[in-house]
Amino acid sequence: MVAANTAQETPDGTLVNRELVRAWLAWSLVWLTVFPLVGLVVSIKFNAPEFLGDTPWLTFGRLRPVHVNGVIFGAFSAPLLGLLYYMIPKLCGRNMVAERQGWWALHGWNLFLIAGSLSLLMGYNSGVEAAEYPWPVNLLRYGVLGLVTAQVLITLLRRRERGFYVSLWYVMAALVWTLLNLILGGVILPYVEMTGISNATLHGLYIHYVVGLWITPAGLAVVYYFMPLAAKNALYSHRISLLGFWSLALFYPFVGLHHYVFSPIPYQHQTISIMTSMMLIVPVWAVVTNIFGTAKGRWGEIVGGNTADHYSAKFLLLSALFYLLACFQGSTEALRRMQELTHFSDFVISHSHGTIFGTFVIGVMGGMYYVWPRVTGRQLWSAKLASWHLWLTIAGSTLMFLGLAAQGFIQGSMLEYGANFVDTLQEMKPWWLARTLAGATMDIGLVLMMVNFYCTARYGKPFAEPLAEVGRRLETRPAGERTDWLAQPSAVFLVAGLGFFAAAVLTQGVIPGMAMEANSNRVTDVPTGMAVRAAGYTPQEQHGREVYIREGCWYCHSQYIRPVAGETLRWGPLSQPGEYAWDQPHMLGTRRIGPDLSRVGRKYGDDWHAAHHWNPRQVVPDSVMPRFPWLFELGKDGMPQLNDDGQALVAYVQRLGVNVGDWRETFGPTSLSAGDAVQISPANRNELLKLGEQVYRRRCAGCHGDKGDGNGRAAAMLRIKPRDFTTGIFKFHSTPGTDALPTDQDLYATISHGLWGTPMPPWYDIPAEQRMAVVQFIKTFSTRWATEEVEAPVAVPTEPAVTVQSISHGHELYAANCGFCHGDNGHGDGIAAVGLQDSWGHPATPADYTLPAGAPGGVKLGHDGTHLFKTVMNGVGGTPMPSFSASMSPMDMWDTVHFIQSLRIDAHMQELQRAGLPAADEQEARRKLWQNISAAAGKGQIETSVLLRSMGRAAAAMKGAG
Amino acid sequence: MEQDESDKPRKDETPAYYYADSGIEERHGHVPLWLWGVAAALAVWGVYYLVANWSPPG
Repeated sequence: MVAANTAQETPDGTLVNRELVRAWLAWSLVWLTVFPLVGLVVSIKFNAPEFLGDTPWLTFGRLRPVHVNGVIFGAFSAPLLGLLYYMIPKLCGRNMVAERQGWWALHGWNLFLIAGSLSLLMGYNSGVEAAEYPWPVNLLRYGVLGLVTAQVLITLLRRRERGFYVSLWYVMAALVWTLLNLILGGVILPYVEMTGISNATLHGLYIHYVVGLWITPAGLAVVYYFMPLAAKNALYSHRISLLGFWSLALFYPFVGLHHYVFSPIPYQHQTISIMTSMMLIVPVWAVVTNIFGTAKGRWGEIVGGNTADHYSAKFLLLSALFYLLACFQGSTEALRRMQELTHFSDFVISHSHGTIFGTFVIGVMGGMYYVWPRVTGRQLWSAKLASWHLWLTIAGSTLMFLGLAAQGFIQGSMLEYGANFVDTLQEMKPWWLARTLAGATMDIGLVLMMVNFYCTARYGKPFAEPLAEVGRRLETRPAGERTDWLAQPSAVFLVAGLGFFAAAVLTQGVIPGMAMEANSNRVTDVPTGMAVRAAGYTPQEQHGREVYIREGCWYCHSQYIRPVAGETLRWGPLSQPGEYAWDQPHMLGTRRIGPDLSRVGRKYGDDWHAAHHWNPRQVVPDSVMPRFPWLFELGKDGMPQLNDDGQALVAYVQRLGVNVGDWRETFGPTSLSAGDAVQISPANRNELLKLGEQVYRRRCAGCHGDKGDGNGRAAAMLRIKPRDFTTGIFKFHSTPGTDALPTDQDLYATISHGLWGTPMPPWYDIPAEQRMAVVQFIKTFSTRWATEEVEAPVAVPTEPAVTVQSISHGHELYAANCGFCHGDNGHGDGIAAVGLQDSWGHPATPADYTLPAGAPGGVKLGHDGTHLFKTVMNGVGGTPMPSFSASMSPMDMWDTVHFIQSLRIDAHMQELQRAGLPAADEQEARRKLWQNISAAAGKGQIETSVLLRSMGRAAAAMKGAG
Repeated sequence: MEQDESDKPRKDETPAYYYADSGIEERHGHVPLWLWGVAAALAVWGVYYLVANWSPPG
């Protein structure tokens, strides 16, 4: 660095503390390089998920917030604050008040960035997106920003320049807004008790205030200041400045809820956010018109010029161009139809890169090109390096912006057409490679900038700041035009800074949270349609939630299901406001690199989650999820097993989505797909086998093994072992005999439905043809299919009416035939239950009929009457559960099935009572539960007395009396 | 001495304000008619959108 060059002092040179500005900008070069590079590392993980993946603090969930916050508060805000120490004195005609405090501000800001980044790497994450830093770091940031604000505002109030230039409007408003917003993000969101929906509502405002009320106005202040100077032309229009600033101040504070469109946030407030988002076209087009108008008549010189000022103008014009494109994208992105297609996808990331980097980081870089020679007293060292920087920035940013937008459309279209979620990720992989290349291109440009600036300070030729910054003086006149109240500090501070902000927070933040649905834990139980209460988390689940936040799971997994794009068929019932009553901070999320997790509870078994977190690609070969080996410890058998953190995380995940009742029992896609299979003609079989093998290798081999012997890579971690296909024995079949070969339809049903409480997940979300094909391929593992005939499915007689008599008789049959293993009360704890083994010598546990769908130890294919009938009649293949076809008549079997169903319904009613079901609703709730699992009850063939009380207890009483 | 082309005042120039210490010059200028048109059209659309989408469908 060179010392302050007094030889180049201009008449106004004493206004600016050049040494201070130079130090700010020098540190800015470091942050401009470091934080985007972190983003490059993050992007590499999309292509190589194992890259730097075995160290907790280098995993995706820790690095991602370092990148995002680092770019916002380091790469953008550090140079911005440095430039304020240059702009404010010049615009106010006096030195910055308490100028030397600027050094403390610089050291404080650097300390904040370092401490904040280290905190996030160590896992101290608040769980509030864009406000993740822990409170001591927030406090430091607030102190520094408060200091700078005080310096700026007091300098402004004591200014000698009568005119109040547009940059000052933006700076003043940005600082006031941000000091208020940081209270929202750092204090109110994490510490003021509220429901998850209120939290999400206020967070929607907060997250967009960071962008819209800090980055945008502060960045525009820089662009407005340096564009006339760099272009050596007068600013195009003061009136357009007025239109641009006031329309931004009016509309921007209202837009934040567009992050959560189709969420349980009240609909009309979402509508306000969408409308105001579209209205932002006005300020954007106004600013762009003003900036391009300022360059009018100077384009040739700017484009052909090679000085630092010319490069400043080039970067500023590029910034304005990205502002136009990315903000138009942002406005239209808020529209509901666009949200359906693009939300949660990389389209959103395209917008954030187009605005934050493409517009405003490039904008402050433009300011830096102008200021650096003036604070170092040296001419730009290399125009060639500046040119490389410019073109690498153009190439990288454009590829990033367009590529990510295209990804959003592609993934969104695939999902709308019902593609499997992981399949859409597979389609993203070439694009993610392009994204990494784009990021690398941008980062190389930034490194070149740093080199050029260093060499400028060290080796550049002396630079003399021109006496007159503007080459062509227009007719000037006193500041009469500046007496407009809208262009006065009082208007900016009171109306824009406080008034519009308060109105927006009240309208879009406070009022939606006061709506009854948003403020209560009342939910509608999906199986019955009755109002119940969502329960809070257990201590273990709460601990798991903290691990979920710490590891950044929420950056890739959203937690709300929208009523669009087939999400209710893909993941489960629509999200309800009351479900989030205990979620602070909320975990709704803004991105889906992995599937939504709102309804993931009980979809997979605990072992599956363990294997998945140990190495996701062992279970899902196409997964891009990181490994989490630090959630494991070595078990006595030498195998990794979940430690306390891991167990808590799984407990939390298994809890997600179950507060709306036992909806999985009757989830349409798993039930409807069961009858979808067709018999395959020999002509098509070979084609299907090719596809089936591909499907098997991608989706099944991780557990069932390449040879189909149940010894896949993940199998060692699974207590319930994957099926050994080589034996040709399957649990569930409609064909007679315990170990009978199943039909294609049987296998198709099991694949679609999954086996609850085991590591076998449901595959209803892959195309039907893939399921049919993999059925054919699975059959190639065993010779039984070639040597034995598949018998015809057993006939299931029409179900008789559900009566007290039927249930009571069923109870007697159950006690005589089933209770020995399944226990008197159906809990799977009969006296013979201990020590049972399956055909492979693995422990076999009788089903607990009382458990809800997906609970470990419960039934595996549901409580549907027809399924239970076939299971009693044919037995369960490879297990001690025999066929009862010889010992029971069909009507006996139906009675037994009714009793088994009554066990679950009694337990289900107890769950509903615990959830606050009013006594007046119990009879109707019981009727609906019966209708869900009994065809006879569905047709109204159910005795009223069955609905009046617990049938298990009633049957026991009747049996006792008999 | 012949005046440089770039120094000739433009026909559409309006009064300007000169910020002496920064060297920035600012035209008073005007808002183009088309931009007013965009703002007005968006305002009309905004009112329509609010009314039409105030309540959820169904």
